[in-house]
Amino acid sequence: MAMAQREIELKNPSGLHARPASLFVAEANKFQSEIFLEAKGKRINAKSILGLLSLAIGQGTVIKIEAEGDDAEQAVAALCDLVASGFGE
Amino acid sequence: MVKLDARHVALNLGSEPKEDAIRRVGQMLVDLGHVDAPYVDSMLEREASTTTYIGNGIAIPHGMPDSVQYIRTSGVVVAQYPDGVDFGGEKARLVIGIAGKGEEHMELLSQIATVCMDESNVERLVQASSVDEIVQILERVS
Repeated sequence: MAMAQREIELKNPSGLHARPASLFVAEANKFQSEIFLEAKGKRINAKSILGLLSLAIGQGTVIKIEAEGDDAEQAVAALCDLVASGFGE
Repeated sequence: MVKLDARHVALNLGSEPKEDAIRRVGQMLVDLGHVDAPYVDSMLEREASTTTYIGNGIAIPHGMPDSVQYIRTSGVVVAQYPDGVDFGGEKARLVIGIAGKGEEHMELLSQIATVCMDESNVERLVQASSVDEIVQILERVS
């Protein structure tokens, strides 16, 4: 089972509110891997909008994205690209 | 923090189109003095751009980022739809209207999400027959 993980800082000014959380989960769901997001000492299923919103991740927070599965590398790369893009904000 | 009283909760509503549900919770926010009327239009605009359905039978309509000017005080209202409202193929049984100023927006989202991640809490909210039950479940988390 392939595993991948990377840390990245959240840049968009308003943090991971509902719209970016929805975009993140939509991207995560394109992959078969199990994907987790860790921030502020908590680890949640990154395919759950509720999970992401529960963390209230603000601008400047470093998040860790982890994936386990055949497409783990691709999943982490795609999600990091999305975060780096600032979700178009 | 979520602060509710009887005026913030509408129980046992019949199913209706999602736009009507959004107007309903928007109007509750207006009537309670949390927002000015244009905020409701922004809630509809936000829904049209990306759905506010977030899973577990919950939708959280709120305005676009530029509508913060219409928020007077942060507030949350809860509409309970036992038969659900169709949000783009997903059924929302709780429609939670949110007006959050500044940092409070993320805090409100987090508090609601923390409660509603637990499906047993959602079930209790959907079946609640009194405002007190809703208030207890939603305000308990901090």
